[in-house]
Amino acid sequence: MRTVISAMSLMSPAGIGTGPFRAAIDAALLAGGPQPLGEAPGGRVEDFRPEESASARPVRLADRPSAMAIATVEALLPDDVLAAWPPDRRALVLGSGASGIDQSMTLTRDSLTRPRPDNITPALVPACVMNYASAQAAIRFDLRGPNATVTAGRATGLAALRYARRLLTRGRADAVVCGAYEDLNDRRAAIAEAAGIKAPPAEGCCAFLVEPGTRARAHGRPELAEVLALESGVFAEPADAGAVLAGTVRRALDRAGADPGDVALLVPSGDEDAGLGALRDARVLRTADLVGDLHGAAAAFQVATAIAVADEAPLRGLALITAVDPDGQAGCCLLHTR
Amino acid sequence: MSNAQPAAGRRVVVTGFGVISSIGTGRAGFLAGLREGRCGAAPISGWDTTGFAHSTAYEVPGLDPEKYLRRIEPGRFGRVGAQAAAAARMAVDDAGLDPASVRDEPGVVAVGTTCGESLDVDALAGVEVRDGLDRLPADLARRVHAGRLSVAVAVELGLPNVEAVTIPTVCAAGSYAVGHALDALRDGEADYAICGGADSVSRMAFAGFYRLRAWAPEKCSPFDLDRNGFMFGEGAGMLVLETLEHARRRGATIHAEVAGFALNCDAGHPTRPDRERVAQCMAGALHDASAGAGEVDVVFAHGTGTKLNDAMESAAVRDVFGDHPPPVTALKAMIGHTQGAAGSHACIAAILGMNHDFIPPTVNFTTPDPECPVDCVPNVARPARVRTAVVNSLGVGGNNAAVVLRHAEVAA
Repeated sequence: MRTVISAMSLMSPAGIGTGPFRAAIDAALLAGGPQPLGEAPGGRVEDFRPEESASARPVRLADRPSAMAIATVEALLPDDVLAAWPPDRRALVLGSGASGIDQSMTLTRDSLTRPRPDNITPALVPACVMNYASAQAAIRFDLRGPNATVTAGRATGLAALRYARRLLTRGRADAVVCGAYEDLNDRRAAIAEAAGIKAPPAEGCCAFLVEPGTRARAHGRPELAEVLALESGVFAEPADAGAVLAGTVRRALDRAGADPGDVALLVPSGDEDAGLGALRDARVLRTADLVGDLHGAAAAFQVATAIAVADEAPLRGLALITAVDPDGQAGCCLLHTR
Repeated sequence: MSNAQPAAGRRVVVTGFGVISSIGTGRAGFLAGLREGRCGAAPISGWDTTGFAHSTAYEVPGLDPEKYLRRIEPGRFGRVGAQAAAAARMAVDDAGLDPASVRDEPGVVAVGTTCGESLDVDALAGVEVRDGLDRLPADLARRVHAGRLSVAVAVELGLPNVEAVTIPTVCAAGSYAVGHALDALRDGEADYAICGGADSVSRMAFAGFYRLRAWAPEKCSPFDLDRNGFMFGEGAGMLVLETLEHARRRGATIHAEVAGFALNCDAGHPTRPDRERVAQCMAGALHDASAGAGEVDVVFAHGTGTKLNDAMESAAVRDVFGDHPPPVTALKAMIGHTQGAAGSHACIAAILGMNHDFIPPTVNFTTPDPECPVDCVPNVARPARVRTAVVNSLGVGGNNAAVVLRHAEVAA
């Protein structure tokens, strides 16, 4: 079975939608390549103000990350897509790296500082766990099939894609809404700073419709990208990250029957491409330089980057996305963009 | 039916497991606890509960997970990651599997969780209150993310070539992890997997559910007329899964077969589970296992001890199994609601029941509830020949999962 991405929606610090994101990539390409790490803009999706939403289905949720996820999934699923898709065959796989920590710390703080330790905000309780957005999206769009939440640091988007592909190959769903999100809040920024993360934190959400190629064609949807390979590994020490990542790249190329020289575009999460010498002929686009550190949404945005630039012939074809997280995850995804 | 495709692909078996729980740690300890019908509820000792009128949970107070670890240095992972890694270490030992021997084979590490490194999150909030947000210590900041639970397992076992994922699908997550591993092995994407779940008992969770009056004051009493809520438990349960062929090739002892799995979502009310969807999920798992409802010898219920869950689940069991369902036992009375580990704890208990011919009891049971017309194996373990077991799991938000396990003799 060929697994393809047939639709995409996103919001980034550049704005809501793929248009502003693509414009940010263009600006970087025009400027002769991305800026060095550490000078990316970072920041919030300033245009996204769920409390002011004029949408027919206003977003009223306990927290911002879920509101971001719902709005992004909504943009991915026009009525005609849902109409042709039985609810119990609709799967959802969402991921983030840190959602729930901000809400959890608020709850613990209130328990520690208020006159009574149980004087917390009850509405916050469900948003303290990471499946809140997945559950809310299921309710909103009647997604009754498999509903999973995954987390794997900056490789989360690749883990979500792999989960989605497996649901399809096992026949557990007709298609999968697959995405990743991360909101920006003071605690996330403080935790990243204390942990030594250099890139400025950014927020964003990105979602894909993942389905068999035959189904996309039957429904008249474009094949934005075929997912040729997803490979991942774990490194115990930072010094091992390069070797583990190189192993995943080797396996991915083997699986796709491709040579390193075939890769037209490389989208790394940081500067890990320095260790992938065999890919030196590929053009390099660094999503993190464009938008900042998206944490759990990072890899999904790297996939989106590869898809967004595929209208330019030199950047179309085999695209390799690599992800390395200081927590120990390393992984890659080989796409064929069209 | 949400998972309409029948099972196909390679057969998958359990060859080892590791357990940390309030009633016993390790194979022998957990087995003894299940047979004796211990109840692990005790006053919370992990943090200061001053100001709460009641504060009981199923912790594992004497446990130092790091003493089971061989590769991970102390303090590098939080208590939950360390427990996942410790249970994984026990599991490979139990399986007689030297991780170095599968280092170059494709593998999966999947760890389910509800609250992740919740004790570290609490600790960070404490620093914020005391010293301010700009004073967060680097060691806590570096180990707080839930994605590290699966990394801890892979690092402890020295497995660089695994697909390591943490599945925070809350209280169904342990079963999700087993199901995800099952699908990877059936598909040929991996030859072995280390999967299960881990969680602890944090101030955040306790204060939240105490406030919502969902936390039982003294103990968890599933299916009892006077049940009054759930109670979180601490622990980890990790299993070694292999394809049948892989297990045979290395001469491993097979403890059980993972015969089927299903998952679906209520997509309805966020906290009130949907009986029809829960029943469809259990039926879907039986279909996936090509098993008839009549073959099932025991159901390991989600059995949280809330009014709503246990009545709904009793009805769903009768929807699937008819008016004479098999015994329906609820481990949470013994080990508490171990959240992301609950599904894997139940899988391990089911396997122990199969291999030692008994059904673990639902302890703390006093008064039958007409709303729960099931045989919950009250208070005392029951001798029984268990060949097929169903483990049912629910997660808040409407996440359902069910696992079907079969006795090793059917895999022979």
